[in-house]
Amino acid sequence: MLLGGCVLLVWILVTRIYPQWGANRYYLETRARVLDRRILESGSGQTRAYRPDVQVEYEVEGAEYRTWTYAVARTSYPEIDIVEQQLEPFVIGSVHPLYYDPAEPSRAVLVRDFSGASWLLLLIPGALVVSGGVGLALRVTTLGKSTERRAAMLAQRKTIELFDETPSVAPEWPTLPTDRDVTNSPGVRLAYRLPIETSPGWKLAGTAIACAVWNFATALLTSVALRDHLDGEPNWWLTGLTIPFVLTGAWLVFYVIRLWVNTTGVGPPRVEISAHPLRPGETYSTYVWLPQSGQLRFTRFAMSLVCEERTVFRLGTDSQTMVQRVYQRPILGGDELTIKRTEPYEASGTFTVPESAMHSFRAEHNSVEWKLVLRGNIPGWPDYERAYPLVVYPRCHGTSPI
Amino acid sequence: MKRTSILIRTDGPKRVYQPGDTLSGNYSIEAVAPEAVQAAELSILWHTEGKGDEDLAVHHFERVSRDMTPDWDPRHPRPFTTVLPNSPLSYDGVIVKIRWRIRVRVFLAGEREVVEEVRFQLGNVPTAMPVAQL
Repeated sequence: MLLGGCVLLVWILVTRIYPQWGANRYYLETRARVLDRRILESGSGQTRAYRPDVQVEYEVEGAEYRTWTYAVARTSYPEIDIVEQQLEPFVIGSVHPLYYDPAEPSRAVLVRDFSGASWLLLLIPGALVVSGGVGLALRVTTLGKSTERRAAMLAQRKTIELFDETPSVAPEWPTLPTDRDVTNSPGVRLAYRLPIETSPGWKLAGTAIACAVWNFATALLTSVALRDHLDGEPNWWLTGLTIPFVLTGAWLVFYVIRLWVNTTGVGPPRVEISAHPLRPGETYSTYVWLPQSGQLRFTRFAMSLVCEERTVFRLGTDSQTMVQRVYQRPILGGDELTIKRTEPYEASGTFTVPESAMHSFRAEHNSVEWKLVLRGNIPGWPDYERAYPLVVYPRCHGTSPI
Repeated sequence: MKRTSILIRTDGPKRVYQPGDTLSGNYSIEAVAPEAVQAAELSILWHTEGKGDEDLAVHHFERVSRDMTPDWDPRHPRPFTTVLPNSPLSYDGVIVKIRWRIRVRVFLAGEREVVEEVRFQLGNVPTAMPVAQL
């Protein structure tokens, strides 16, 4: 990355930045007569581009020069009108200022432009050089050091992170997530209102945006393919390429509709708990309140206490996540349930964290997660599931977790 | 030529510890010429095993090297002691396993390394079993 960034940086400096800077900095001015002018074309079809070119004649220290030129940055434009406007002042036979390189007078330009786009181009190699440089520096500092020594250095670095005011793990309880997000919202009936694991609204919004982007691209592709057919010059290769795009787009629309039904069809439940964090062997109360804008019938509705192991592993270049449930105990519900519009569903229950429970654990690739899971089956709808994370600490050994 | 061997001894026969317990012992490097040993690292660490990528963290780390301690004799038992942390506890899960180890890594001349480990348990969490999702 660093090498690529350096090569790209040098290439942009040599071919774009330095010539433009030189033309503005040390090129000398003289007068030149226009001999001819033309529009140069490059590319083909829809990628066709145009740039101006002017033949001039000028004299430097008694020597005559004749060359085709316009500006240092050989900028091309997709619209020929722009180029025609640029060439308009350069009438054949007219005389214009010209700037030439004193070291190489045959190198000359009529326009001393300074393209901002060239400077913006530096951002690309700049980002590569910075990220590659940081990576290289990290490699160098850990070069020849054992895995354990690197881990010890990392642990030491974490303890002196002065500006990390919101650590994701409790310092006295390594690898345990903090329960800050759980205890920052008081409940109405019980001590805390539990936050939802992943807001279904965000998932719906993200999927809807992805669906819109995909289908916009598909529409463009399809319109090009259709136009070829209507023009009587069908491009079957493009048509074949379009079909899987259209099918995927249709599936995305179907998926978004299902998500929308799942997200908006059932009111946002409120789940509360009597205390937090949880301890093995201790009993807690929970309360569920589920409003509903219309009548809703679940063939099965239940809340369970759940523990899952989650692990991330690389498979080639992909990163995959595997989840294994290792504990599940129903707390309330479990039967058919009908919620009326005027009567929100309310239920209370108690549960005990198993005496021998593993505590919550969070590392970079592996975790053990406890949660309350609301799950319901609605006829003709996708399964309804909402999860509320909990933090279970190890059994007390004389030290308070907070 | 004799093989390099590392002896790790813990004080007492205990193999199961609780958070806050003191884990102490010593290690020595035997059957090798002392001048061949460049450095040694003692780590008390946990790491994960199982389906996923490995996570590893070092709770206690000591390094001794000939450069920093010229009179170091690796044959002499070198003591170590640490108070064990509150977490993570040893865990024998289905796809996530957490293991605690005392690990000694010895760096020999010629860029060779020898590693010896002693496993111990932190806490008493029983083995987890898979549960089918309802």
